[in-house]
Amino acid sequence: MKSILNILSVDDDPRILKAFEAALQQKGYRVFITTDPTKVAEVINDNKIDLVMLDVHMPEKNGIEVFKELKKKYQSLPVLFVTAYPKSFSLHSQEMVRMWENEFADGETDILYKPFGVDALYQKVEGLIGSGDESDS
Amino acid sequence: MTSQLSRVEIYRQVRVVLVRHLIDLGRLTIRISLNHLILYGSLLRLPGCTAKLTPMIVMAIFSELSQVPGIKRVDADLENWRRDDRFGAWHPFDKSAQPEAVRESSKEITPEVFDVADDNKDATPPSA
Repeated sequence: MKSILNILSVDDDPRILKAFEAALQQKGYRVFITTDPTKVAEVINDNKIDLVMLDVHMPEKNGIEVFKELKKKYQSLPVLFVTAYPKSFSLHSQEMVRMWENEFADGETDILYKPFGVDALYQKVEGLIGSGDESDS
Repeated sequence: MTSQLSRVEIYRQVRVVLVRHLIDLGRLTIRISLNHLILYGSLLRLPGCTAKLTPMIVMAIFSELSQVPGIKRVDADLENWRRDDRFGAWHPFDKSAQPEAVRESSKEITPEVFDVADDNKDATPPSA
């Protein structure tokens, strides 16, 4: 039986969220979106989320803080950072190296730099949770 | 279900190897088809990582990737590293310096590009 994979996308830009939603739904994923990073835990608690897509720079709370909180509670939850390169990570470069050696070591995290093509998005998502339009039976 | 899960697991183990060597995953595309792993993009260390990649380290990375369970063949079409076909040694390479005719064959075609400017951020409320 086919089970639908659920993705939560978090970005402060609603236009980006709408684009992600449309692109990922086309591939058979169920997509939840929020511009409010403080609501991530709530959405995860209410829904069976298979992947979280996180922007890094958000005014309320940055993606790295959200990621650290997520990893404390949901250690094996796959996360895809979606961020502008090199602006975002260069501001957190030492922190990123430390996270690479710790929170990223289990291979459940990946990064996608903006701008990117829709194929690159599909490739990263499929590499983390599998294809949305294939039966899992 | 098994094939899908194992495929995801192979991807995960490939990322584990790359992360262990502080490789910037954002600069790479990983593709796995059957037992064939191909890396595209640039093999670079993370921003902020001072230790440089050397040919020996790149060789070690590919050796480790070839040992990932489920992987029988590893290839790469990288922008900045190339393997010598005769000796198997890796050396730094600038693909962008090659003539256009050479680069054309590996150009990735994408139907849509996500590149939204950072203005107008305070618009619609979240739907989830």
